[in-house]
Amino acid sequence: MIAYNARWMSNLAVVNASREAIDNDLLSKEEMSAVEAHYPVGFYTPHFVIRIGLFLLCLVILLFSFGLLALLFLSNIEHTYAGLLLFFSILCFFGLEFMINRKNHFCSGVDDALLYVGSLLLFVSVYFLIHPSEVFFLGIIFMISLMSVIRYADRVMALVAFLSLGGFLFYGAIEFGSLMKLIVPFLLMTYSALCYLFSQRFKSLDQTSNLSIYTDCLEFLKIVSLLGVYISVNFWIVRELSNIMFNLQLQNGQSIPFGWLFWISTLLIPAWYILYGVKKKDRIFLRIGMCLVAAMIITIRYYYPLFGIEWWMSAAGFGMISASWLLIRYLRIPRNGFTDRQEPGKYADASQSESLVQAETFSSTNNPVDGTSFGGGSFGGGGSTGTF
Amino acid sequence: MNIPLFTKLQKEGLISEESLNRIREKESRRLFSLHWEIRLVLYLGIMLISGGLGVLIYKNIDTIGHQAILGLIALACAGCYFYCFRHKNPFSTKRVEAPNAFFDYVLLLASLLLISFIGYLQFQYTVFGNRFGLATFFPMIILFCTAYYFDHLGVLGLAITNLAAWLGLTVTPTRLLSANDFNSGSIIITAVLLGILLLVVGQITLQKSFKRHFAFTYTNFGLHIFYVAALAGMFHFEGIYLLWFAVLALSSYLFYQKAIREKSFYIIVVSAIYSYIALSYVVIQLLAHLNHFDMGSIYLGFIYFIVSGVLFIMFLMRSNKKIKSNDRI
Repeated sequence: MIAYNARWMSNLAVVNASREAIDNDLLSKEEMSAVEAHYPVGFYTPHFVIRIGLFLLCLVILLFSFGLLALLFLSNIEHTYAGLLLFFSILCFFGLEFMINRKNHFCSGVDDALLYVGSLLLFVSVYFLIHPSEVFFLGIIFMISLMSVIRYADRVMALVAFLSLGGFLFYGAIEFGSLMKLIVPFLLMTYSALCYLFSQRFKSLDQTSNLSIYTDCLEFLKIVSLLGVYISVNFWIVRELSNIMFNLQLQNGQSIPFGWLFWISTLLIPAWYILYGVKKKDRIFLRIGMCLVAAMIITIRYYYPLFGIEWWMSAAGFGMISASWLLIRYLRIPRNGFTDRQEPGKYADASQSESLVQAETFSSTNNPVDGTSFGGGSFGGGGSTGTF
Repeated sequence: MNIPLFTKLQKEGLISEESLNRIREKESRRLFSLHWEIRLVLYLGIMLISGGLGVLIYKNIDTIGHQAILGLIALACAGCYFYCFRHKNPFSTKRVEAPNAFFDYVLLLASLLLISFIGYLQFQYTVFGNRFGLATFFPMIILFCTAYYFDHLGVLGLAITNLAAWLGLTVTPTRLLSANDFNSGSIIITAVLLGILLLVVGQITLQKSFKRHFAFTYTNFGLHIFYVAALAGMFHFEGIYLLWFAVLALSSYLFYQKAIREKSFYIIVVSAIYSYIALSYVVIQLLAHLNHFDMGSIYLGFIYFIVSGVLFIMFLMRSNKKIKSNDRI
């Protein structure tokens, strides 16, 4: 099933776990090398930055190879382009299999590029070859991406599979008439929740069988499905999307059927995520909950613009600063298993990127040639980021 | 941590009983770190409040009055600096840890307020007259001093962007390309020189071991400014583009050596990608020059991109192998 060497993948998980232990000074160097010798990993996986470089170069090569191929058939391109796309996508998959089986590439940038380009061209060529309906097309995308996930354990493909099945359900459901249109948000919410349960269920299976091949994919599925649950029942999404999709022609201030229900979910889900994350010490729930609080506030402000945006910004900023101040004070000594101290090993070099972010968001680039500016320059923060 | 896994490793005789017990112990009193979550909230909070208050003041300028606002900013700025002087750890040429969680942010706020204060002063009262340079020169000096004295990487980044602004350039990471007019020869030359200056300062920082951890910030800014400006120079000065290419090739070679020496994957990839753009430009120019874009040269161009892409991939893979021994950004 899996294209990569499954033994090596599970060995990699063991080695990574040991590396985390050695970062925490729990293992000796000798033990680490014993583990590495006993659990060999033969993959070619370059450093992360090199991976990006290889990915970009590979995209260039694929682009121009396809261009060369198209040039050869230039005389009757309008009849052959769909076939060319299909042919080239098959070539990509052959190249992918070759790099994986013969060259032992794994997360090297080359395999990523080949997989993404191959799948994308496959989708496009299927579309041009058979001109399917939306439901049918999304179904095909789901099948292809699901097979890619199973064979290549890739996270982006997992996202594509999740979205395409969701889209399939959406377009499938609204064909059944107006009642379905009313409950389609709940349908999608249920779908996302089921995906979440599936990811949890499968993860424990994956771990007990000591394979941990799909751990990353399942973790990623957990993130997107938790986001999916919220997005499917967020008031702004539901109102605006049903307005566009179903031609409701709502006026300003007009709500949708069962609007109050969506307000409840808009307000409650972020809080529930955060509480659950704190209770279970689950970082994913916690972080997503934090993001969704922002989404919730923006949603409320969108429909009830009581004060100017600057009041909201100041109030939110003040609230966030005081909350973090209180938390830092409170967690100076660890309480209930929580601490403010950094975990060793992880993000050791984060201060470098933090400084770059600060230079980007706060820098006052008042160009002296144009004269010094007041607005953007002086109060850099809010203006220059474009968040609001 | 995965206790069953380590138990299994212990049974296989790969790790000792002690290590397993240590891991068990650690796991049983494992703490859940909220460090980055809290920092993120704090950071966003500061951004929101500075933006929000800025707009508030801007909208109510008529009722508040300029002097009052200037006084307020000056007061807040002085307060922040005062706090930092009171609480700072003693100066050292090595990395100095912040005394508490808020120190870095208070210092950042102080620097931002200072920039606002001087910018405001110049905008409203033109204290520096038409010598706009002075309005960025003074904050720049103070920012550099602040960054070194209190050891703050973020303020150092601000100081560098201010140095560039003083020279008439915009160098924030995302606006390097869009905000500068790279069609002007003098701007290109200035930017090239600035890039070289920053790279040299980064190198000196490393060699003298004076605030060693600042070196990456200098090198990173210098690297991008230099390459973007040199590429712009190559596109702009059409008559002597081969000369620019020679300069680029030479500097890429120097960067390669530097990257190998410092075991930096980042420098390798960045300089490889910029060099690739330069090389491709030259090849396309030459092809166009030779054949005036007939089918043959177009085919040749496509084949060039495929072959050169493969060669660059092989180069990157080889460099990766060469510096694999020690991982760093």
